Amino acid sequence: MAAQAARPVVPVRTVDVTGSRCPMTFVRVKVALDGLAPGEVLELVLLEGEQMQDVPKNLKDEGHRVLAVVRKGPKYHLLVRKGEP
Amino acid sequence: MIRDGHAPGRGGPAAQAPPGEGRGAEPDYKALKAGGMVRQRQKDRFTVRLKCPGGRVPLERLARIAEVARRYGGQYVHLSFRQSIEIPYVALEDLDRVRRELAEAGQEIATCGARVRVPTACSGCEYNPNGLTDTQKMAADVAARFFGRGPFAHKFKMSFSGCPIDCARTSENDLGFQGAVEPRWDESACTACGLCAAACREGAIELAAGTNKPRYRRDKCLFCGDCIRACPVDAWQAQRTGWMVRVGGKHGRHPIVGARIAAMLPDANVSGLIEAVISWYEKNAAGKGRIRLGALLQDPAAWRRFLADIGPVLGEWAAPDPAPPRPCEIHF
Repeated sequence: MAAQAARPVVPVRTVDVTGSRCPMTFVRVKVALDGLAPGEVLELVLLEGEQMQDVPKNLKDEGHRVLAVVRKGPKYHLLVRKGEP
Repeated sequence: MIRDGHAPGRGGPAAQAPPGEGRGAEPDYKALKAGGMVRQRQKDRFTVRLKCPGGRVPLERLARIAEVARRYGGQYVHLSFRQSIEIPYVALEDLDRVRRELAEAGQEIATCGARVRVPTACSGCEYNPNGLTDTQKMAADVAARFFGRGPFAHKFKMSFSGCPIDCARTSENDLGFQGAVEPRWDESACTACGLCAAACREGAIELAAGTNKPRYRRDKCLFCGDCIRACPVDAWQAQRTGWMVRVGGKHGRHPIVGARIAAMLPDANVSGLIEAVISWYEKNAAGKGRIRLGALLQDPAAWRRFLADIGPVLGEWAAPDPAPPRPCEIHF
């Protein structure tokens, strides 16, 4: 189902933003990523619909990389590697 | 209701000039209007409409506009619905000075009447993340080539939107250009993560049971490029980028929703199409009075003739058998 990274990737932390609404979703994702060093991995939990329509493309725009996606019902768990600033 | 926004006791040097010079000789309002000077309710006061293609105004021009408005205008400027800055309450005798002082800063006056108007555009791809096409460049190019052409049977308006959100309302213009991108899927790069299907707002990507690989439903696609932007491994890429073209739209007392006549038209073909449509309008509206292109195209014979004449210009980008522009009346 999910894209597999070459070796197991261990997230530094998990942030579930499924209870947030725009623009707080973006703020929480940004704050969570700001707390990581480039190359470190965040597990991000997003809700299907608006969050999944908006957040992944913004992660890519900002130079981060989605390594794996696992869907659990309406929730998506994304492993996101922080990009270089 | 503000009846006089003119600053009391203020005005340009000409405010002290003898009024009513050449009394009895009616000013040529039509010539004034063609030059973007719109007569106001107040006697001998004009609104000066500025040419701001795509609504973009460099700061040095904005400073001059503010200066000129303070000297000759009222207490504010007005932002028109089509992105022009308008300076109201300019006195008839100051119009020439206003034009001259704005021109020194490179700021031109817009047009009114039965002519090609200043094209409007969204902020475009330069800094708007949704932007697929360079609407600002196109608006500037089109303004340079076509602005002020006429007079025709009626006005002729164009707009440019950079994505399907269509902020520039391309379906409400005589010719509207909306940016679009056709995606292409590279199976060898795909990791079957499913992000594209979750990112698509239109249900145009379905995931195959078992493999989780995307299946593209072109019939549902709006060509917004969200799949391309979301894909972490660039398995979705741009196949073609261009313009969805709509024709015959208008607002006003009898609104008409423009008809899509082409898809993915390249930048290089835009001017040729505009030229062809304007010429067609000029020729086919002659003798029919004050009629907009969209109203003219309501006649089924005219619509068929239009498609036959414009088809060769659209070439491979022509939409197959499009329906005519659709009236959107308020009668019920």
